[in-house]
Amino acid sequence: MEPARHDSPKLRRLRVFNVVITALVYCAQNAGRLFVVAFFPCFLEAASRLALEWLIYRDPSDMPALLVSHDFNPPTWLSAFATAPWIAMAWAFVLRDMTDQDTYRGLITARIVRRARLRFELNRTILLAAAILAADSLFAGLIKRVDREILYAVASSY
Amino acid sequence: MLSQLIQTFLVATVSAWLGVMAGRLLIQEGSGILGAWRLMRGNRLRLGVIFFLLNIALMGLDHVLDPAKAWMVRSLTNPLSWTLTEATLRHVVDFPFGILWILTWSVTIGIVLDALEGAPAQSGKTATPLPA
Repeated sequence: MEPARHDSPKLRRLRVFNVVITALVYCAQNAGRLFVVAFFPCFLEAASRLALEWLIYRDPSDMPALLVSHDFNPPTWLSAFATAPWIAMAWAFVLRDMTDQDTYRGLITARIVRRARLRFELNRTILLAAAILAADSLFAGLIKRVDREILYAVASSY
Repeated sequence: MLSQLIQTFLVATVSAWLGVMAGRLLIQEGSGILGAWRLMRGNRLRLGVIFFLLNIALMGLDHVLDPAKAWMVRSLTNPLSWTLTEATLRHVVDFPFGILWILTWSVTIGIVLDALEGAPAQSGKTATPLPA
């Protein structure tokens, strides 16, 4: 991805459509490898969502009402924290793969799953990135809530 | 509809900024958040537009695939209330789309960081660069 050459050397301006198309083409060209690299963290992310759904919807549910929020999926703000570490882990593997940094890092070497080439790694950096991604999810939930409150306020004023 | 678009743009913009911070942290372990913020100088709104467009594309794809996914789950189980079987099937059917979403975002962050820093993409793995 080349930045625009006519810009000042310190300021590189992104070309919006070039970035979008390059990202989609990269995903299509490297789909198989990226799928393998990100499979296990994505599996853990889906499993976390399923576990949270089970905690909320099982009968009888003992999820405190304080934790329930319909601005998230599953409907609890805990989902921001439960899924963020796995998303950050997947990002770490994909970004390392793109930059050719330590491509084999995180590979599980246990004999029983060695052939599946699963990857797992949790360290301070990934947890810090997870905190940033969790903040992002919380912000998205908050915006949904504010939007809904404004719509209710407008609707109730009529 | 307008409020939905504004909401999507706002969320996409903040996600883009936080995503660049998280991505830079993951690539250059120990790099600061302020450094990532400075790196985005002059491109913050563009980043919002990039992730807004990606969001719209992925949400559109999800919308198109939704009836097929619902049909697949309903053809196997159709309970009146939430059951573990139905939820598991729903997550299994949705899994490839979940991976696609995570991959698209992380690859875009990688490409954005590459463009801003000129650091990654040494091997022939990246897509052919488009003319600037």
